Amino acid sequence: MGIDVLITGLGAVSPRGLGVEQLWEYLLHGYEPPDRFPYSAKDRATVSPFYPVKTAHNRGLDEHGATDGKAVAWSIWSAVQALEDSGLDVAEGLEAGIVLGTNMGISDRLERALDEGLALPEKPMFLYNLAPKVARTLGLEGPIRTVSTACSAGLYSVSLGYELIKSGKADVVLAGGAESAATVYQACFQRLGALATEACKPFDTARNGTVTSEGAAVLVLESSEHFRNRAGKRCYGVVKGYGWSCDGYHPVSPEPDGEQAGEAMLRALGMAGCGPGDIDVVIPHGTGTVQNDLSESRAIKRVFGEHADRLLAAAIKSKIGHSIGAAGAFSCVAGAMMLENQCCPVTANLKEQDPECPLTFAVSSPVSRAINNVMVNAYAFGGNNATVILGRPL
Amino acid sequence: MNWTSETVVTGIAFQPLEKPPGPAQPRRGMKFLLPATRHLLEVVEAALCDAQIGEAPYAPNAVGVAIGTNHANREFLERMYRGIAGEGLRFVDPMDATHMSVNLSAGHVSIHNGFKAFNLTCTSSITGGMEALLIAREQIESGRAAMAVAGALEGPLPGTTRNECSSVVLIVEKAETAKLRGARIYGYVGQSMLNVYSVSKDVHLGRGRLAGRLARDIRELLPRGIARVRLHFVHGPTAISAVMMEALLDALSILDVRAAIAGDAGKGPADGCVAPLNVCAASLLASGEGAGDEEEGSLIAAAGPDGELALQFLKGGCPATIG
Repeated sequence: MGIDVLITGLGAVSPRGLGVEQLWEYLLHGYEPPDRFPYSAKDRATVSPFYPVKTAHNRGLDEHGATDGKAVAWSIWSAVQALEDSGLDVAEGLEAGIVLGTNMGISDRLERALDEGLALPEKPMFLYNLAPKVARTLGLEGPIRTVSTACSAGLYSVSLGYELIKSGKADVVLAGGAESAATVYQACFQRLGALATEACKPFDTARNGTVTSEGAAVLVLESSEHFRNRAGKRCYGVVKGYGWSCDGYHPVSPEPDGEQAGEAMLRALGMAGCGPGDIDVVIPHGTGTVQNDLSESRAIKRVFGEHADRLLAAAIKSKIGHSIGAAGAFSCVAGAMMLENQCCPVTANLKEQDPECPLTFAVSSPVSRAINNVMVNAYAFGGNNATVILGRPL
Repeated sequence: MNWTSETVVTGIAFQPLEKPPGPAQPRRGMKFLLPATRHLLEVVEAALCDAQIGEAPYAPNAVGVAIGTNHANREFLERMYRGIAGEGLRFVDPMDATHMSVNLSAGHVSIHNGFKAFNLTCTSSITGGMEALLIAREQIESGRAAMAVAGALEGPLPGTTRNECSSVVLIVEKAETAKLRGARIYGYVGQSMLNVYSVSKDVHLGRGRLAGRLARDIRELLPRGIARVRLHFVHGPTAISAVMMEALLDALSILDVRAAIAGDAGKGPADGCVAPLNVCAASLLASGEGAGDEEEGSLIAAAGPDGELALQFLKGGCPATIG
């Protein structure tokens, strides 16, 4: 019998606070408009919309945040929460792998150091090195990967975690992503015209950009054998397969027809042993930019064909914004919750759906229905495409 | 001997920047790229040339890219931040925005060469280049790619003496297809690992436990029958990485594998993750020695600042027993 890769724990620090339950509740029933990006207060650049992890939610995280940056602190908190959720005993340390993705890493620490005129070694040397710092704090030993594929990094992490377990290199892997606000990327997004003026409206005809956000999300991935041997209690779902591809087209624009995005979907379906008709829900990348949503819509149409009309979808960035390197991991957390609750949350700000988009969204209230398989997509600058298929536990 | 590697290196290029970057035939838009990206593209081109990849023997969807870096766009990020702090958004030219993410250097490799199987940027401190080689090999051996560009690059790191770009690129291919196209084979990419170990504050107290753990992990990494390794160790100047090297030697001793230290390539962390992959490349280039000795191979080790350890087993040349 082959090894299955189970999702046995979830943790998140999101703009909605600490924990997965309130995030899920918010995805089902809540909506808050975005705040403004914090550096506007210093009159530096812009007043772009942004979903921050609120200061009040940072209480208790300061110890790590002050020394290692918010992305590390939030990753640690999310990892602790996910491990507690899984019921794994970590008192004596844990043999587990860790894979974390990020785009800007601890750029908040770099910015603070530059503000204060600090030089190395007070100024951080390595910006993206989240995973080993989490491992050291939690006493983890095992395979480690750090991946920075911009907005798809969190989903690449889940793919790599899947790979570590499938290959037998680890029984348990913490996989996820983290991102904290960074002035440079916000300003660059702004100059590219990629930011919304008010709200994130994925797949709406009036969409005009994304709304950035921050936070961390971590999943405990565990081999079915390990879970069985320890008599684990809770399993949200199974990671059934992944697919990667690269547009090789343009540094910051998606391939217009979504050819390679579709290729990633097909590879993931193939690895998962699924056909298009087996997918019940899609969590699209759905950033709310004109080009991204159009490209993804075309890819979905091509891959799913006649099945596309029957697909339910949840564009969660409409509610929590685009957390860049953490976004794919947040989507996987949402996907796991959909599988457990058999319910698809509401997509906000969708008043007039783009006719190019073949998906069906829950727009007024969550939709309860049988959800056996969820497709999660993430795309990025550089053309880094990833798709992961999650399924109900067997 | 039981070789399990199906992946070979057929092209190598590496160099510090000694002349202004730019390929032989500059392409449109190159002048807008970061120096580190231009440098990487130049080295990729040289490596592909070295591998004699002419009229694309592989379909675009069969070729992937994995690049390790720690500081590719660091100078850019600091310059941008200072500029935005001083002048606001007008400081940012839209063309600048194409450098904001550290993965964009690798993205340009795919854009310029049409490689579409996958594109990953690995950012483990110091070990990122070896992580890239590890992932490239995994993707090839799982059949998801037939060839990959595995490399590392670094750009200037403000506040250090490091003010130049450097990069190294290995072309890795499925052994079977490389042989079919008559490629020259520098050597075989064996098993590898990138693990994190919990090293106690008094690092020397934990050395014995660490050596035991390493011995367990290395046992699965070294091919059966290997009795001697040429050990190359690249590390940062931290107590943790120093004790890691001692523990690694202890572990090899536990496994009864004789280690000849081929070079303690201790480098400052400013050199980022290019140095370990450079050592891999150099080891393969020098692989005439011991190529016919089935009991010997090269073990490249690199330690990061937080207990990370990357190990890569390489076997130079093309022993008759392989493949």
